[in-house]
This record gives sequence, structure tokens and C-alpha cells, in this order.
Amino acid sequence: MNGSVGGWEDVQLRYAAPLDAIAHGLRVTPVDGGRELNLCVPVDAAESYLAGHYPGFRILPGVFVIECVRQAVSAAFGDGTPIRLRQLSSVRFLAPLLPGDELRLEISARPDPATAAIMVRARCLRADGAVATKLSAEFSSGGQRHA
Amino acid sequence: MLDQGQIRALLPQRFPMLLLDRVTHVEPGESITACKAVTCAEPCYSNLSPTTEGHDFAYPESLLIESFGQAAAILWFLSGMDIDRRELLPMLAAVRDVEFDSTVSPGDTVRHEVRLDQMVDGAGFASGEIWEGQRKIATVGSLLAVIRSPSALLPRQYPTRKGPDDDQTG
Repeated sequence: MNGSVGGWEDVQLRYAAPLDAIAHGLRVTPVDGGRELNLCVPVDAAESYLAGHYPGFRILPGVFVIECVRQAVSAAFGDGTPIRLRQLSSVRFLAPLLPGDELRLEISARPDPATAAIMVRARCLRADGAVATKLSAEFSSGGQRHA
Repeated sequence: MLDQGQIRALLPQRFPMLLLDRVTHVEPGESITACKAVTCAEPCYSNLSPTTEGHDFAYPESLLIESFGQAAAILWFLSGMDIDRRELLPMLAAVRDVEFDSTVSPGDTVRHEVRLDQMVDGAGFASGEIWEGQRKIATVGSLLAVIRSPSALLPRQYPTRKGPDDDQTG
């Protein structure tokens, strides 16, 4: 991606994705054994996929939070190349995200030295502090798992 | 079999978020088989860098899970869900134990094999697999969908929500 800030149409990704989650910045903090990732993603009513989810009542599809986590992990560990979701242990959608809301993602990502997988725990807060999503998953670079 | 018109009569999602093309088999209360063709005309391919390589056209796992969930929702609706679902929206509440073994790309047709495990009080539990031909793409351990009224999702309702650990919506 070229790092420009703006709408979806202004930014180019290097992999297929339904939205650009890191156009508005990503903070990466090294911690013991891994990295903490923080990013904010505004819920934009103009996002193309929201027109169909749902007509007359736009609401962020829950799976887009999974996508946001994937993109943050890709940016922090893959230098922008895609890191793929390998195992989704658990995701819970606890509160709705509507246009005008903002996702605040707090991600704890720790590489497993034995498998090269990246173990992730994340939670997504809404601007009012409500926990919208909790997620526990494993990511890795394309093709490594069964190599 | 359900064609696109019959799918739209059941699901409220629309382009580009309606991620099912056809239902090929359904046994109400039991199981459903539904297909989605992946094409490069979808919005997730609309703004890729010129340097994107072939393997990076893999269809996003997030949208595969959504597509599987839509197949589960149709099965749920055809299995005698005893709720008047006019004006109501099916939503993902939780997903557990999904394992991806492979990827799909434009040109592939995804096949969802979904089993209905339980229906209780406006919630449905499903599980199954995602296939491309004889190639298993993913196993879905458990998916929980709920049905919600739009008015219950509006901001003025936020202070009355039951609490952060009650599965609500997504």
C-alpha cells in the first residue's frame, strides 16, 4: 500500500481485502515475546460493502473485524505481504458497529518460534468504550503451514 | 435447489455483501449445500496494487466465513424458525474452531456443507466444511447466529444493553 490517508479508493492493497484497515495508521509496540498492535478504523457508510449489509440499515459485518486484525498483523509482521488466517479459535461479536462509530483494536501478537505461526488475541472497543469484539486466532504467511 | 431469487427472498444481504450464488441441496432441520463463485469482479479485488502477485488474489478468509454464515442462515430460516423475521436481521454472534487448510481464488467455486446443530430462542448453531471441488478449504467447528431487530441495534439502545459478555451481534 502507498500509505496515503483517505478513502478506500485512494489506497492500494497488495492482497484481496474488503476494506483497508490500516489507512489511518497502525502503532506497533515491541513487548516481551511479541508485539502490541493498536489501530483505529472508522466505520464509513461509504464503504462499498456496507451498501449491501444491509440496504437501509448499514452495520459493519462482524467478519470485517477479523479482516482488520489480519491486516494489522500483516503490516506488523509481513511488511505488507499478506498473513493468512489459519485458525480462528474464537471470535465473539458483542456490540454492533454502525456508521460513525470507530473500531479501536488492541492486538497482542506473539510469534511461535516452533511453528512460525503468529498467535493473536485481540479485542475491539467502540468509541464509547463498549467491547464490540473479542478474538483469539492463529495467523501465518501463505503456504507455510503445509510446507 | 434455490436460485438467486429465492435466496434473496430469504436473506436481507445485497450486493456486494450477498455472498451466496445458489443452494444446491437442503434438508430442513438438518443440512444445506450452497455455492459461491469467486470472481475478480468483486470489490475485494477492486483496488489492488499493480505489483500484486497471483497467490495474493486468494479470497479473504473473513468473507469465506461470512459466506458460510449466510448458507447457515438460509438453513435456519428453512428449518421452521418460529419467529416472524420480517424487519429482523440475521447476524453473526460467535464463531469457534475454524481451521483453514487452503485458499480459493478467482475462478474457483466454493461449496459450503453446513449442518444445523441446534436452534434455541432466536439463535441457531451450525457447523460444517468449506470445499472447492474435492479440496477442503476450511472446517467450521461452530457458528452462532442470532436474529436482531434494527431498532435494538441503534445507538440510543447502547446504555440498555445487558453487558459486555452477552453475545449480541456482528
